Amino acid sequence: MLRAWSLVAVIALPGATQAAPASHPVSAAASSAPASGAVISAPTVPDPASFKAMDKPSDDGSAMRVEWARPAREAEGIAYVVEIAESPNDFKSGKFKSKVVKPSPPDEGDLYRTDISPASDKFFPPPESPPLTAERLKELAAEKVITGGELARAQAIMESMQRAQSKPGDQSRPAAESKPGTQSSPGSASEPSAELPREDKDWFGRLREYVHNRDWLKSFATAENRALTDGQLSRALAALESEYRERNTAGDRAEQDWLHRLMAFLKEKDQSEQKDRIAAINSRTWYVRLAVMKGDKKFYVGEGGQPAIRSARAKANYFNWAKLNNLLFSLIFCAIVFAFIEVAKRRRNLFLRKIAGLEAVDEAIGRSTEMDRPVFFVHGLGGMGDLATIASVNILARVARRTAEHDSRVRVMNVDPIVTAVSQEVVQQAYTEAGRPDAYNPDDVSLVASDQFSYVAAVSGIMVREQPGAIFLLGSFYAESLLLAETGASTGAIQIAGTDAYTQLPFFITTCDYTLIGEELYAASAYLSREPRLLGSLRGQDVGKAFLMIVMIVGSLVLTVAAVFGANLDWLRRIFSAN
Amino acid sequence: MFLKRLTIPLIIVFVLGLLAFVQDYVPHPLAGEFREEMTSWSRIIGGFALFLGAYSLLHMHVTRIRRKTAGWGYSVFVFIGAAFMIVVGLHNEGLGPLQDIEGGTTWFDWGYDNIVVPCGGTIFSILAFFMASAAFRTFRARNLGAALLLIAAVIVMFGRVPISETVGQWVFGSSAVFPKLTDAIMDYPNLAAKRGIMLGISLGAISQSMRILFGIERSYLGGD
Repeated sequence: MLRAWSLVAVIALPGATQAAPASHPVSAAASSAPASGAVISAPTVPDPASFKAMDKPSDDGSAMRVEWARPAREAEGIAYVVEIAESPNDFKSGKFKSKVVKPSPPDEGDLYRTDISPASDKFFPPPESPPLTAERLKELAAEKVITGGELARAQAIMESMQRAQSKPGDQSRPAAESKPGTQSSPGSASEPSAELPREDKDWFGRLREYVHNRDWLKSFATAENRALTDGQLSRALAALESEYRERNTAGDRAEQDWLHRLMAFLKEKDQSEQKDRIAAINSRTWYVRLAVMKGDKKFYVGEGGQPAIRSARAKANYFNWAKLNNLLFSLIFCAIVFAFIEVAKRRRNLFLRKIAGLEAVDEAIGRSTEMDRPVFFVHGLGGMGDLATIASVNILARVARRTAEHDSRVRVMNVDPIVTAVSQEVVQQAYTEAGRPDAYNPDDVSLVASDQFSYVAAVSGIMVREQPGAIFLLGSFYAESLLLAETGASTGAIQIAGTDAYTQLPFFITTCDYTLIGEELYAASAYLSREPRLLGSLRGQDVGKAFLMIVMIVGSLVLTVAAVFGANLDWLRRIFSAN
Repeated sequence: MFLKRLTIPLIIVFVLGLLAFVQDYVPHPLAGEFREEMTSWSRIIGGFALFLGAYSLLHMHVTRIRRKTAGWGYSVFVFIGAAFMIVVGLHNEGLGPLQDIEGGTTWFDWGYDNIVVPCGGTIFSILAFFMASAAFRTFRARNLGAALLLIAAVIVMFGRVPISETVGQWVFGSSAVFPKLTDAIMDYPNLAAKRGIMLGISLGAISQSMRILFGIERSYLGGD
């Protein structure tokens, strides 16, 4: 069924007029678009029924979405223009902003979507402080904020700047973008001209900053905003003036320090309020219309002889639906792990694949004991928020317990104070549980440096001096991995390393006796504990990995076959796509 | 006592862990505010822990000096360095602590730029030599796997240097042979292995998070 297309058409798009079906009537509508030329054929502009505006789903309320269907025939060299205004009447008065959307290749689907944040700089941002104008300078002189001499000097500088701006053929200055509320007015000051003497440029910059900060401070002592009392404002303005006039007595410096602290506080407060202002702008109802643009001509998608107008407002959403697949997979995986924990509780002899590096832990500690050398445990650079470090602390608990049982000594060298505190607690507890609380020495678990290479120097030095029997390099490592592992290898110690940083794994594999690769690090604590509940979770982890392998193999096959037969299985891709 | 030592920390871990998990799926600004709040708390706790760390470091070095253990002389340098940086930091060119100095170089900056940074650079530069010695040890064709590793490494290293284009042009008539072969090794077998490791890490991370969240794994609290 043919739709009653109605659109604003002022000129034929190349390659479209000839193909226009006679049954597609179009009408001209009053708009701000330039009017001239012939009537456009309908299939070259989007169907008005497909033109929609809505809240952008699954976002934080900062954007609205506009979408429309690709027209039946998309002419060459066009672009789509989405216009946004605060009210329908603003379109007629020209108070709207535009967003240009370039056509996408046909294989990217038939639906165009664009997201608009109304409060962003391109559209309707919260008002900024007005630029410094000649009129404002006169006001300041009248208020005796600046002297007559300063007024004359500033006016001369601004005139020089205007002359530089209006110089024909001057390509060096980019055209100023128009911003709502900051339309350039005659005599407004942007950047001082390059021709001005440096002294004048510096002085004018200070004057502009002074005026800006003065107005900004005053905005905190208005009837609506009483963040500052009148007394505080007077003191702040006096300090600001003393800074502008470069007064440098001890009293002036103290007042200026106070002003800087006050301004830092107000800036933080202002940023928080700015967020609220942005949220308020975004959550208003906004109106949009859509046009196809060819050169500087626009052809509006219309209804009833008028450009079609849609409205929407952005809302903060409570669930990101794009992550639904992620959530479901996480929950399924959790269910599998819990199921295997239950199985492990009933079946004590649950099979787990052997991890050579963990099988060697007892051998390494035993060797250290026999040689009467300490066991070294290095966490790497991660903090306690790092999963690899948490895993390594868990392993430390097991290693320290066995070291205490063997009547040997464990040394833990850290770079992070929180990891140090946690490690001290863990090792002390392990010694207590082993029945040897007196053998715990707090100096054995210490912070040795707080910087990457200082840490390397400290740990390497201790390794060379104390000649450990076993070294555990477990946690989060960066460039220091090879430096530590090579130094450790030179001492002849058994080295067991493990990290989730795959870029560092080759270094550990080449220099250490055993390496825990990726998830083996996370599995280590459970593996060493032999506790059924922990072992069950490892089995669940392995089953999850098997599930992923099957999905990848089957998915690759299915998508390959679908590609051969031309079937569209985008829904299958979407199920497994990460968002 | 038991309640204080284990139960309360476990409850805190469970509640905050669950909230951190949920906020990842919630785009609402409230979730962002929660994240910022947690980050602030983390920084505050980190600030307190800094004192513990400093105490731990100084205590260890005092003990080393007192007992004259091997290399105790290095511990003296810890105190000299720390004292120097603390004094010049507090003096701050006569302005006192925590005051901004616009332009110019302070003694604190001088100490950092001329002692800490060059020393760090020196340690980092040793990496090049260690890399060569590690490669020499590893790249021996002792078995099939090691031989494959050796061949792949030689191709990748050769394909990354300009002379490979000249050799490729001379031998195969195309300068792109070795760079393309290098890219093929990096983009297919290497990337596949890397992704396999990353998938394993992700599953391991989820599994470990669950163990910690539900109190199954408690070693980090100092006990089974």
